[in-house]
Amino acid sequence: MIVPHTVQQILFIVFGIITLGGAVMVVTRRNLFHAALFMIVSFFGVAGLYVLLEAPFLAGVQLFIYVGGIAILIIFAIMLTRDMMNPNVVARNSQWVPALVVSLLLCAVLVWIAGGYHFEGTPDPVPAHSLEILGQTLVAPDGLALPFEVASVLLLVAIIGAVTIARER
Amino acid sequence: MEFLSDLFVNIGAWFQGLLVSLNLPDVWVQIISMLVGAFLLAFVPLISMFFLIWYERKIVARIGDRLGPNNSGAFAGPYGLLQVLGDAIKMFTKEDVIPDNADRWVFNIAPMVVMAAAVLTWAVIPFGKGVIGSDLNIGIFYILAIGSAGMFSVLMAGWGSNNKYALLAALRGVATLVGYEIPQVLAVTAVVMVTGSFSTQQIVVAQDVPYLVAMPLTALLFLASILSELGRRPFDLVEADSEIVAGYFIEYSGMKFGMFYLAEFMNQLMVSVLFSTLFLGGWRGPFVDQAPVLGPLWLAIKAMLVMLVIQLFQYTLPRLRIDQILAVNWKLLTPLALVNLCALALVGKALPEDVGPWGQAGAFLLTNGALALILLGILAWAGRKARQREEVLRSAVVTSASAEETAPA
Repeated sequence: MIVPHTVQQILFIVFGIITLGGAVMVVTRRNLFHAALFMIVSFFGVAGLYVLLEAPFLAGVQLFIYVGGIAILIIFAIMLTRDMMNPNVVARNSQWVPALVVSLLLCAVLVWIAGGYHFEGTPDPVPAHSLEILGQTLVAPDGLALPFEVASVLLLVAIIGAVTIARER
Repeated sequence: MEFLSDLFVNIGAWFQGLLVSLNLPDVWVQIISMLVGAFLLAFVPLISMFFLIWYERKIVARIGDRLGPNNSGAFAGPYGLLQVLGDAIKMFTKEDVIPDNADRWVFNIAPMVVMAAAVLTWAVIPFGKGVIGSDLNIGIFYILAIGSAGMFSVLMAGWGSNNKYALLAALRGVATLVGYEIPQVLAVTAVVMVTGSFSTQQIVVAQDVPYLVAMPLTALLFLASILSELGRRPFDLVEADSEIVAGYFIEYSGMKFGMFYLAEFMNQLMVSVLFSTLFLGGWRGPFVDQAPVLGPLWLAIKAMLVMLVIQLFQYTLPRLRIDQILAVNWKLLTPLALVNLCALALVGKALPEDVGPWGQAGAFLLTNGALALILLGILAWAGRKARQREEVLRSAVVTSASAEETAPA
């Protein structure tokens, strides 16, 4: 039993419980709409962890993209799919064995990486202008400019593809 | 006089001093003052609703050539100011109805989520110099993020009610909200780019020239997108009284309905304050340097004016269809916001360093003006094209009709 002695540790545990509890509920709910809502709860927990790490911008991005974008998209997909809410429909298909293998592999890799990491001493304090540094790194030619642009091009391709598919002929 | 001129900051300092003099540990001083601040931030907008609902009713009444709330029938106070209080009591005493087969948890949590989202945004609004809940360095981005979380209350209410009209309204509403978020964010990005900071306080301080003067097109873009986010006419599809009755909260009664109603008003006040902060210079105004206590007053006056404009739109314009609303967004506002952002970035980069605030504002104004002229030209051309197409169609119909008439003879 870990006894928390600072406010930060209590908050960390609370956000951890929210994140993990939400995640567990997502995979155990039969009602897909409820599962999607619990996923949002889990996203909020992750946003809280970002705030604790003094990365408020990432917390905002987490809410903006995952809650405002991806979760909305998932709920739309749920609502627009026929028979998705019928409890009598079997909730798995013939691919459950490969899916199980892949998720176990992913879990093993994550545990291996996290277990191999040594936390030494206290980390350096977060610089006051972390937001400016992040922004400049994203567009600096010797920084992340290339991956940033490649990601943008990928999104552009996706948009054009969506328009092409949806276009009336 | 010294105390009065910077009243709010001094009260805050006095309160902190009081807590320290009680020999409380530092952590508790911090926690208590934060809790009190949070309570005030949540409560002041809530209390101001009493006035704002009355304000809206009076405006609607005047537009419709009526008197609005007044003291002629039952007692409603001078100018009917207490009518809202009566409404609130009525709402509290209504029966709480939960529809059959409703998703009870989702149905009951939705009003709380909508209220929480409406209250949370107030944390980063600068009411004056040093009068702000929390001057986050991501200020304006925080508001946008919370706003996108608020969308969920719409979906939850629509889904949980087990009512097809509510669900339709929720889907329409979210489709609109997702779409209009893009021009809204791009308009805010232009402001953030010119200021060089996400912080709401910095944005206010940077406005030696209000951004409404410097970039009117950006302000208009922002206004259009917040109107649709509020579900106000001409974009009030979510609520369309005559088609889907009351939108996604049709099944709610009593205070749960009241919470949606209140949250809608709080959001309206919120976007008015936000518009004032982003484009009208926020708490800045005459004499505010000598007496910072005037800051919140200026902000309130500006927000009331913005609200008046929103009300005038709401009660004089007809409603657009869903396809028209989405077409306006994707074919007009989004490309315009993108071009606007690029143009402002190029002009801002090309300007020499020493032009001063007015020179910069002039350059941006010229950019925006040129863009507006080009836009009007394109719109006029597209309109003429559409009319010509219609003309061709109509003449084709007429000739075929006359051909039918003559055929039997």
